[in-house]
Amino acid sequence: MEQVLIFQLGEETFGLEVALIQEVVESPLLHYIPRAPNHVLGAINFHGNILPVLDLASYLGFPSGGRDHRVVVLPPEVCSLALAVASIRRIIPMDAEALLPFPREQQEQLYIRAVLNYQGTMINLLDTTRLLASLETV
Amino acid sequence: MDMSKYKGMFLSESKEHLRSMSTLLINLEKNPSDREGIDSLFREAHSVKGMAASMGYDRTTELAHHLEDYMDGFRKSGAVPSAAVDRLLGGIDLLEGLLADIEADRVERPIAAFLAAGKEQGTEEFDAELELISDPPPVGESFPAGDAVETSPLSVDPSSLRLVVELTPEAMAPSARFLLLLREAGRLGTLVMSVPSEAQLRKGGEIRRMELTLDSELDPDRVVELLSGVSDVARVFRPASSVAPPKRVRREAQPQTVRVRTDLLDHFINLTGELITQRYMLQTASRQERWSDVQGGLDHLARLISALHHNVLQVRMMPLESITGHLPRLVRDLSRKTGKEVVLRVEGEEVELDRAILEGLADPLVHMVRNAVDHGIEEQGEVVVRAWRERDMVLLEVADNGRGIDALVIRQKAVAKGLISPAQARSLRDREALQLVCIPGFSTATEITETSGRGVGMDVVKSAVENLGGGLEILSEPGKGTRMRLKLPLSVAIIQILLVECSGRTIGIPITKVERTLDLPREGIQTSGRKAVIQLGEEMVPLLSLHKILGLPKNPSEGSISVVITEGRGRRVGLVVDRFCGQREAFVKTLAFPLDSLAGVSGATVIGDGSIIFIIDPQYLLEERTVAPLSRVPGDSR
Repeated sequence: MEQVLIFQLGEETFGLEVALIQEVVESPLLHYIPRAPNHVLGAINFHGNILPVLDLASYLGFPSGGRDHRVVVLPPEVCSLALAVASIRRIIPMDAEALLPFPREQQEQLYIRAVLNYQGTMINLLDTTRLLASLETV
Repeated sequence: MDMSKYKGMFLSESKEHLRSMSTLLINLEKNPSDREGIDSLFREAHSVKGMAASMGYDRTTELAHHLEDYMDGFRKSGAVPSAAVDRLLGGIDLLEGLLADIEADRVERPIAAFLAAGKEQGTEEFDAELELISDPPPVGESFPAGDAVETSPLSVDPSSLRLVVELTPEAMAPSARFLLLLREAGRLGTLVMSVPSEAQLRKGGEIRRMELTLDSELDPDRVVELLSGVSDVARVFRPASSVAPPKRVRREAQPQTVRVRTDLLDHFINLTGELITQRYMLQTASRQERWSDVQGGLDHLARLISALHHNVLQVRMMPLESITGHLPRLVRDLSRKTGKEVVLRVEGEEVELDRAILEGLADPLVHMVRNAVDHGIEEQGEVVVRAWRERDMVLLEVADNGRGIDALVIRQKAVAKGLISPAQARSLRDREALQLVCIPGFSTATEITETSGRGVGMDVVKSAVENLGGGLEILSEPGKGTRMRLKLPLSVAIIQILLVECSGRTIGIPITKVERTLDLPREGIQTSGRKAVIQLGEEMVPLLSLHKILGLPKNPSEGSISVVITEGRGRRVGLVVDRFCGQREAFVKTLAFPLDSLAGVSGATVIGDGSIIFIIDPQYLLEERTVAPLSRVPGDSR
């Protein structure tokens, strides 16, 4: 069964499929990127690759609360990018039956592709395709 | 068989031959009875023919054959008449077209019209030759079209010449090379047999040695000499006795390859050996805690690595010659068309640059040479293309001794076109004003013929050069000619960068963009209007804060100020930084999505402690800033 890593953005619980994650890394050193937009926190050296760290909360318009000391690195074939989020929780199994459709008009703004009902908690599944596409226009 | 894997080699070699043919022809035009020139010309055409034939490109073969025969007449008469030069150049153009067709996998374009035009050509002295070429090519003799040479050892005449040909170890596509050699041998006599046979050769493989038997009227030593001259042939000799069995033919896929000189490979081996030795030495010294030896060993290691780096770069290096070959022809055609007498001189063709840079430079170079002839030189003059090394850079200059560019006219035009205000025009120094020709749309061809402007394509030249990490400078005075000078890095991947610090952040600036660095006392800063400036020789150079440009908080600072002198829009500018942190060699990584969209940030490098340093392009940053201010009147007026 597919698994989902859950984390917080503001008050919301978000989830990202484990298949879309390369690694969760401990507090990497952030390096300055000249002219980077505000929601890019800096670059990390991930095994010699240069990855920008996107502050997902600020990018998606959530109030910036605390940030987890770890960052989520996406697999290189998806994008050379790491995501900074508020507290990373744990990995849960994803039951396709428990997926709730998400209103299309809200998908546009929130980069959520579906909502997973996990033991009563509503988990927003991040729509990485739309997220990455939106980065092009930044 | 599948010859497609040899196509790349065929194309690049044929293009080389065509380039040298046109250079030879242009020299022959000036010196029509240059025996050596005529012979070389013939050999080049012959090579093209042979290669095209073995690849099965019929029209290319036919045309090359036609040209070869045509030239053979000049070998006899000892001179190339000027009308023939035109025809031959036309033929080369057509051959280039055919190669383009082959490259694009199209059917080769028709050549009948060209061949027919040859017949109609009136000049008497050619008629004799033309009769020759109007005959169909003698198949099987000098022009074996297919499996003409497939023989058994039984028919070998003891008086025949037996030869062994060995290729150099680095020869690419050896079987194709041997096929070409068979063609060559076929010209020198009748090929009796070859081991491996032509059919075996057509299967391809790593063959390094071929034996052939030839009936030839030529002196055997002459045959050996002629065959030895074919490229990639290591040696040709006459075997003492028995025929060695051919080596096993292996068939293997051929990945993309680069030709590397053997001495370079030897250097690699030697350096690797030394590095290994050095590693053991360091390990021992550190185990025994002999720290001074460790220090010395590290210094030696650094030297070895920079030698290795140098050698690695060499693999990608090619001489400038590879892109200047077209220029004599270009200048000749332009002089013809414009009725001007233009002499072209090329200096420093041996200067080497990374092949990627050379590729990017080919078009800008043509633009600049064309501009020099079209707009620089009036009736007669000289265009000089000159290249030289300066530290870690290559400078490439296209200079003419023509009328020069009048900075005043440029100013007026820029104002008339609304690109700058009259006040700005006055404030621009001449060298800044000259850079205005690089603004897109500054000039159009019809307008510039009469004025001294020459902006055609200069915007393209400038951006191409900047994309390669270089810069463009224009030097000119009315009546004294013009020099377009390109400053280029040697390599695209490894460059020298200056590290600077701004609000605690370290940033890299390519050395090619840095004119000089200064540590100035605060009192050295003057103000002009509301702008801070410093005096640099005769010139007042505006200061801009890199903090501001990058949107960083400004650190309160005291003491001296650190300034990087660089250039934006032809104008010297001083960038103020907090401090300099040295210069280093950096392996530049190009940035991946989404960082690749950061304008003005050209790449990044990882330094020894694992930190990432981003590299900025100050020119880009400054120009982005000055686009807007240019439309309003700046505070200062000089």
